[in-house]
Amino acid sequence: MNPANAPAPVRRNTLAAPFSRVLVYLLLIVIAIVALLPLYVMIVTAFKSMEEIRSGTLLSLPRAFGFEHWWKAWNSACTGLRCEGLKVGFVNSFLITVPSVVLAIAAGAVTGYALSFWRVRFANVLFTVMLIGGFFPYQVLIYPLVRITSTVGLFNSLAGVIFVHVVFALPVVTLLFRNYFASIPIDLFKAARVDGAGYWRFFFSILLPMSVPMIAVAGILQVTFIWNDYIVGLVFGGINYAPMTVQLNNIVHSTYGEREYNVEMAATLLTSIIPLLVYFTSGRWFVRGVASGAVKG
Amino acid sequence: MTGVQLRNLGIRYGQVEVLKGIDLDIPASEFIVLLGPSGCGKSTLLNAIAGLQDVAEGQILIGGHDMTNVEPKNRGIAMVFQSYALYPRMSVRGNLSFGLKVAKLAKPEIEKRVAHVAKMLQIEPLLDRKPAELSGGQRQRVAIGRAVVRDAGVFLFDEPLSNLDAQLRSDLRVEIKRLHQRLKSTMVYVTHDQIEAMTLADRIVVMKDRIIQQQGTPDEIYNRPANMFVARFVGSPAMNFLDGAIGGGHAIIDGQAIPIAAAISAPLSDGRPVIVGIRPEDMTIHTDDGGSGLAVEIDVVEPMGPEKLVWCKQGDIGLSVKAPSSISVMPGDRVRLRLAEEKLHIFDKETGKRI
Repeated sequence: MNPANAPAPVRRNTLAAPFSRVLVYLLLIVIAIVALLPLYVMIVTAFKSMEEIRSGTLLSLPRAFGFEHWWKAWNSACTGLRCEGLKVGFVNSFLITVPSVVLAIAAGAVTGYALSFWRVRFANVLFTVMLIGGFFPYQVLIYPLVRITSTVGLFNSLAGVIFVHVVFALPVVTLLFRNYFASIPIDLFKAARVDGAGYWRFFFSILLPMSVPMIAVAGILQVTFIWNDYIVGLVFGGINYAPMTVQLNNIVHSTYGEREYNVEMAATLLTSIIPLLVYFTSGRWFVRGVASGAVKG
Repeated sequence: MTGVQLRNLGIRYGQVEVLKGIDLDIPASEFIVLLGPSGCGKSTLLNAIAGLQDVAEGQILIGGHDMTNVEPKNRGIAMVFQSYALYPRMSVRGNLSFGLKVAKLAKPEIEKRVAHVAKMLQIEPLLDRKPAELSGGQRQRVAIGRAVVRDAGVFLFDEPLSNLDAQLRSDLRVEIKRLHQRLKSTMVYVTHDQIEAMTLADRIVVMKDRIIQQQGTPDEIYNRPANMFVARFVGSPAMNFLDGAIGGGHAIIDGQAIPIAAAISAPLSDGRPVIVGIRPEDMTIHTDDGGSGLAVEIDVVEPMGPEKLVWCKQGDIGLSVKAPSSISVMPGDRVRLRLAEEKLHIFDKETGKRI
């Protein structure tokens, strides 16, 4: 670097800025349009009447906003033999998601804590085994898990679905927490031990309050993952605890006569509303949590 | 008052022997500094005293009781860390009172102690702030406060000032010394900074390669270093070393005979090669021709205010000399250095040990 030349690149940068900025924004806008187009089509279709849909104006705004398809999707659409709409599935998805996420985060945080701060015997081996478990495609494990849950009497029950979700969530949640805890200076742990804090005291009084961003990240990941899950709910929930996704599929795939695209679109949007809400309200936390895991301090 | 004794202490990481056969006796109320370069084992030793490091063999006695396998909280110790290690989600008040809460002290007692310590360290206005809202110096003050509030007999400091800038470092150094004078607790202080060691310590323990090289008062360490490592590590700039040989009660350096004390030279046979050490302040620069002394060429002159630091070359050996600021020498000048005879340090050329 020649100091005499130093000012030149600075000046060139400021001159070039407006043009490259325009380019960046253009690119971002195009990508955003491409990404949001299907969502737009879904929303407008859900409000259109079947007549209007048949006319083939895919991208136009609805001539009249009809809410009856939404009501039908929620309340009376047929999911197989029963025609009670999605609301049953909505309740089921809630009953599955909330305990699964809470248990997965609790178990993952404690496991990550034991693996990072306490240097349990064979910690690295255990962690590696766990990660390898996380890499197996789900479908491979379905049959063994069916056998296990049916042997212990959890098959076709709410507890069974929750159990399977927690098992599948554990590797990634543990990884998140272990790495986050590994970035926390060991001196903090030592100071707390000199102050007399034991295993749980340090965890609850010092570590958990510091882990809010990580809890948010794990929560967002798991809520969307478990809410969007189809196969676990389908296989392990039985008829009584089929989550919303399974019921949505039933609505879409069990039609007599004409396909009601507007009802199907409304049902799909209703099903995805929870993950969307989670993202919109907690995106800030998500970004902060991911960043704080990656960069120390 | 609580003393600390280490008896034949050994520490292993798996199969690797980190410390072995460490014996150290720290009388009550003493301020002892463990000094050494990074990786010399001084922090490991401190962690062992704290109970944060498992001990493979030997004993740790604190206040006369065997504490080798006792939990840190029950050892009657308090610790201050280089990274401050304040609990980030708690206020300063929360940080100070956490250990007392864990120990299930009564609330009024906790408040009384926190208030007392906050006043002593002048951190009262900060009590309701979070660590992130404090400057580095304030954080370390709070960390010291968290140690003081425990009312422990032994304080352990793990390089507490290394993260601070120079001005703050010397301020807090004085503060720690004042704290010791006031509390009269036993203090074990780990550092790699020889100035901190010299200024704070009642006694310095110099370590290198996991072995205690020398222990003694700052005066002994500085004026009678046990070997070349200690001589080089303590003092700034470092001691100068010159190759020489013994000859007729003199040290012969570069053809110059410098008389040395008979007690040192008597047992040494003539012609025996030695290393002669001399501190920068124990040499004088002479510009007059033909005088005695080592012939050198001035390399660099650094004015320091009250004095000048003059770097000289003798062949390819560099020597540093502290000279009065009134001296006027220029790089390239040829001068002679006279060595204060009574200040020479003679080391064995083979072992590096003091003779």
